Amino acid sequence: MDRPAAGVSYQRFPRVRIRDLKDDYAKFELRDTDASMANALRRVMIAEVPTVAIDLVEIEVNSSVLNDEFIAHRLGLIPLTSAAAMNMRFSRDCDACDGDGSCEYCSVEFHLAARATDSDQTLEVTSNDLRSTDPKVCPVDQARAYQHALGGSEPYDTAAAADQRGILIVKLRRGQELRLRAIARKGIGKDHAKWSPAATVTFMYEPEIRINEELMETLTLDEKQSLVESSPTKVFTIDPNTQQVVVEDAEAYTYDDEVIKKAEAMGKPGLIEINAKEDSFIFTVETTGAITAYELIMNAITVLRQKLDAVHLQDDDGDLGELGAHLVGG
Amino acid sequence: MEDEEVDGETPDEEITQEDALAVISAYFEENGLVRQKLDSFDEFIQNTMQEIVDESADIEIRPESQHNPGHQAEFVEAAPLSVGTRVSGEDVIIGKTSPIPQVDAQGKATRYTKRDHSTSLRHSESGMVYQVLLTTNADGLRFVKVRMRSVRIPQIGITPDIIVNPHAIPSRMTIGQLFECITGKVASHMGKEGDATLFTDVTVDNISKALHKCGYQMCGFETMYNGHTGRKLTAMIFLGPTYYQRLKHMVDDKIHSRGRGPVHADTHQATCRGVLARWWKGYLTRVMHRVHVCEKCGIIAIANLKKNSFECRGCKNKTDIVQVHIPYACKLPFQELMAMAIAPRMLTHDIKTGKDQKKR
Repeated sequence: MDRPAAGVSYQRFPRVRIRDLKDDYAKFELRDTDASMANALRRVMIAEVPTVAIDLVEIEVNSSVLNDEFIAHRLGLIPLTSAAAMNMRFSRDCDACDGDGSCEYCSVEFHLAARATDSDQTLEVTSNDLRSTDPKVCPVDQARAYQHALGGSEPYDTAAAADQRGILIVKLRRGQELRLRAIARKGIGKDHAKWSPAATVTFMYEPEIRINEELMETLTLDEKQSLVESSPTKVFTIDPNTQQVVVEDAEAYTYDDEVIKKAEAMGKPGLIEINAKEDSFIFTVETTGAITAYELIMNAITVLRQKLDAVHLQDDDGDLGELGAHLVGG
Repeated sequence: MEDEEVDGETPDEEITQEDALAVISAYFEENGLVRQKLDSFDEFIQNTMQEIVDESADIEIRPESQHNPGHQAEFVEAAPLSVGTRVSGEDVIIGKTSPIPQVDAQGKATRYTKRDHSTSLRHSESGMVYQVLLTTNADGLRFVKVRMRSVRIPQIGITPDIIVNPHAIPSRMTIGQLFECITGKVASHMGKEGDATLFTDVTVDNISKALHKCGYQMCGFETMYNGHTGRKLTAMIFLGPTYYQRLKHMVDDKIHSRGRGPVHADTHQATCRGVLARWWKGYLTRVMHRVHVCEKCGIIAIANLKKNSFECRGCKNKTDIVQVHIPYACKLPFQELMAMAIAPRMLTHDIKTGKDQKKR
């Protein structure tokens, strides 16, 4: 096994530039690193950043139209505020309660009691009916309404705030009743999608578009126009002053190859060259509201670092086993 | 449920698309975007009235995983299959026995009086019991119907429902499916109805142009990325929505591989499902077969073990015959080859080096 010469470092120093950061949305550039890093970050954000979600449901009364496991499932999918999740314990390795998920370190209890009494109106049981025993953990829209009531700065658009009715769990008819106790636990998206804090996490390779100006000069205005229109997204445009084809929005390009094919069809191969940059990525992150987009990114980095530490520790032992061959031999 | 709320609708009023949408959205509002599947298992129990009188309490309905099929089902008293019971795997849904004729062809009394005829869940499925119905029909047949429900667990990410094997085009004559797929993509983007049949003036060109306007690649191709590595795939992939009906027969329900158990008399291959339950305990893993082979030509010879006579007709050889044990699954193709005038020769001599062969 030929190890790299001692002292040779492959360390790179990735740069991040944040373009947009809202509570549940973020857009940023990640540069000077590889697809493996970018993708690891993406995957960790989706599947390994912990959140809290309802996991155990004890149903006392359920005379609604939905069956027990269906309601349990719907409860599980309600996003709960999980800012504290990173410091919580997984109930499987909690010493305080032997993993049965009934202590303050690893679980939060919820109660729900609803009964449609009078009137002919159906009663909508929503996430607002859930009563939490821990003020830190509650359904996200409850938390938002609370913040709103406090008169704090409203990070979301007020139109949505006005329409806060919670997440529908089940509709009850007169006489029907739902009463249950639920335990929320910490978990990760890998185990069940309900624990995933991410609504969308995507990255795109930054495209590098080169226009061969010499060849472009040989085109008539009509040809230029049809070339610009051949792209399904608005990547190119014609400068009204100089009548030259210019790149309007490189990131709108979806790697569909349509422009390149068009250039070939016009008998001008090499007119436009588009390459995906191997080392710069544009991330789009949206969260379910369980944690903020900022927390999601930072927690993902923490989780990723923990995973790398595990590899480091193995490396210190000097025996990587099979992994060593992958890491060094390449 | 809300029967009283049916309002007096004039029957000639046409059903519009909005009505259909209202029904569909009402469905999703009530059920959520979760699939709830209902399966039902029914079983007629054939009994004459006299038999019913003679032996009552013959049917027992309960889930049972530990029961031993093939054994006469001498059920221990257990709770009957009740609504809300979780069942999975090959649990017995409907336990049923049928009587065996007491005297069989050879006149021997059979060991058991009843045979297990239970209905069990398909091994790939699981769920909860939703409804149990027990009744008797006009012919005096007792009838059991069990409905199962199951909830699908949501998964992260999007996976295709179906992947079309490219070999299916054009030989299976499903070009229309591609038309439909690409039209579906346009239609779902524009929120309009589309007609991809050949009875309209719509051409692939028109559809392509419309798709292009929606911001997609003309032919419906899309660049895809490997979710494990984040790398771009070299080939673009044709994607789109397609209407399809789920096959009743799925591979998952049909995999019944096993190393032992009852086999067919003529092929020695596993018998069809259902018989699976009647395993032969201690059945040999591989069925070996004894054949007699002519040492000269290597082809299976005639052997009469009673007369202790052996003969290879082709070689007029009655002495140099050896006995060989081969798997039955090997003997069978050998004979099939012989029927096709191909001689599979079993060379039973030790493999000799070139020198030794010359000496002979």
